[in-house]
Amino acid sequence: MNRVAPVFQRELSQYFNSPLGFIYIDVFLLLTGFFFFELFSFFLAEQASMRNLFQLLPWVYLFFVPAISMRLLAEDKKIGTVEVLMTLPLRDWEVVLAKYFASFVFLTVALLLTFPLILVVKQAATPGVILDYGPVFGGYIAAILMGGAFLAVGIFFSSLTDNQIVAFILSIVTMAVFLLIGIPNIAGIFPPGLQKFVLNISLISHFYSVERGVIDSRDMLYYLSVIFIFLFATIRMVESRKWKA
Amino acid sequence: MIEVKNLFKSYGSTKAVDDISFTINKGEIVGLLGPNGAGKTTAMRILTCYISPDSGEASIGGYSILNQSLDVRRIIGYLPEAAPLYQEMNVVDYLGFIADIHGLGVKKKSRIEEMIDITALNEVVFKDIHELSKGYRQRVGLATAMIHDPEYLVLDEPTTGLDPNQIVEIRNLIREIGHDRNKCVMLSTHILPEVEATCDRAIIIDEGKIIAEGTTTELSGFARGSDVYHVGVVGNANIVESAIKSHEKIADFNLREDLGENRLIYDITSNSDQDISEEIFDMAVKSGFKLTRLTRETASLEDVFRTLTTKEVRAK
Repeated sequence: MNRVAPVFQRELSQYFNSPLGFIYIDVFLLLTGFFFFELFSFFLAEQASMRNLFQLLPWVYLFFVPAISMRLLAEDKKIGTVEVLMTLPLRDWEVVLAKYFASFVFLTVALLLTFPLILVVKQAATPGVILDYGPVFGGYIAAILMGGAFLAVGIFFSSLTDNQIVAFILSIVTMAVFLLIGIPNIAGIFPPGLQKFVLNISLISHFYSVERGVIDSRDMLYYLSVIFIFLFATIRMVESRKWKA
Repeated sequence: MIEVKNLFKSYGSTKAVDDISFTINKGEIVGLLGPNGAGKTTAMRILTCYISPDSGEASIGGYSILNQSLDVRRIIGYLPEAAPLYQEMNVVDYLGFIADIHGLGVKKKSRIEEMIDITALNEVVFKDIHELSKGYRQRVGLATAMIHDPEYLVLDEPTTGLDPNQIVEIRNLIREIGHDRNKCVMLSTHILPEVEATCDRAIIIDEGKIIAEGTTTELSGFARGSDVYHVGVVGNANIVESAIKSHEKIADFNLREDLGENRLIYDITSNSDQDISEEIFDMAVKSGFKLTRLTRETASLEDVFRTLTTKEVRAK
């Protein structure tokens, strides 16, 4: 494990040692903040809740996550450092997990930096009304899990190509499909027998139930399975270089 | 010891590595020589466990590349082709990064200092790698390959992109590591003089096959045996050609250019290791034609390959 730690550290410091990481976080906070106050007319709605933030988060993730996951493996392929990493005494899965968790930590930091919104909501609440922290807590848990799932999809597409733009676009398209099928009107297009299934595999339906403050083991299991499946596929993809004919 | 037995690897219908077997001992520097696309890089990637062979087996220091790949990777230092590095890190951080992966612990600092010293990186220690020239990058790559003091070094074209002075430095460095420190070094190159300057032994591969193997003296014998002379003459073609044909030290010839008015230019291949320029001159005098040009072209790598592939010789 000690041998992989440097890979994780290097990957994480990539985000924080370059202006790019801070630009990512800035854009993320600007977007969430802007939508939070403007799009959902926070001050007009006369309702002090964090729901606005969590309602729109999947759509911000849709662009934000591929932007941070696209380089994870594609960049190493492009500049050839993958050959250095994979001939060091490291297992393929260790390298993939180290990179995945580095991006996960970065995403989580960006997400947690939205905490001032809680203070705003608290201030805006009618005096005497106590803000219910359950949904806020649930919302963050759901957002972290969903971020993890998005990143797993993102790192998978990053393993397919040495072109970061291709990885970015493929990730967005895939994630958009997984999000859109969770919208009841869109799920309605599918034959009735399929609708339940389609809603169930959507990234968004599980998100809204956790975000309401209901932490259901099925939703947890759903996100963990998505993460597992895509990370597994990524590791196989990375290993496939050995057998490519 | 590096032992390779019957390795095969093909990409589609191309056989990148076609039944390669060889052994490299401790304290030996062996060059893998071949034209671009001969399968050198593929062979090295298999040995360093980056890719797997279709069949065959190899072991490094007693560890199998198939089942004990982590152990193999612990004891080797590998410099991939073109020395890929993390561009945005500075030299000392990058060396530290690789040192940490090798788990050097307390030895880390002294090893980094030693590497910076050996590869003469002192002036660029705190520079970002993307700012460095090709020569410096190659040296950083070498430094990382050697940072954990590996018993086995695998270097894929270690001198490409370097200027002549740097090439000499790197070659000296490789010789020093291989001989004075008793390591096992395997390097690939497509430059014949490089093998002569650095290696004890060369393995020549072409189209995935080993076509010759031997010490550098043995192999340069092949090269000299196929020297080509460019000879310009003024004289009757029949007389000239019959004289050339009957000369015992000339293996082959062909008319390269007919300039008219009995002016002819031939390419003559000798079958001797010696310089036969004087004999060609004497032959011209004896047969009564005039020489207008006589240059000896030492065989290029391509000529060696041509000879080797047609003769099917193996130097042992």
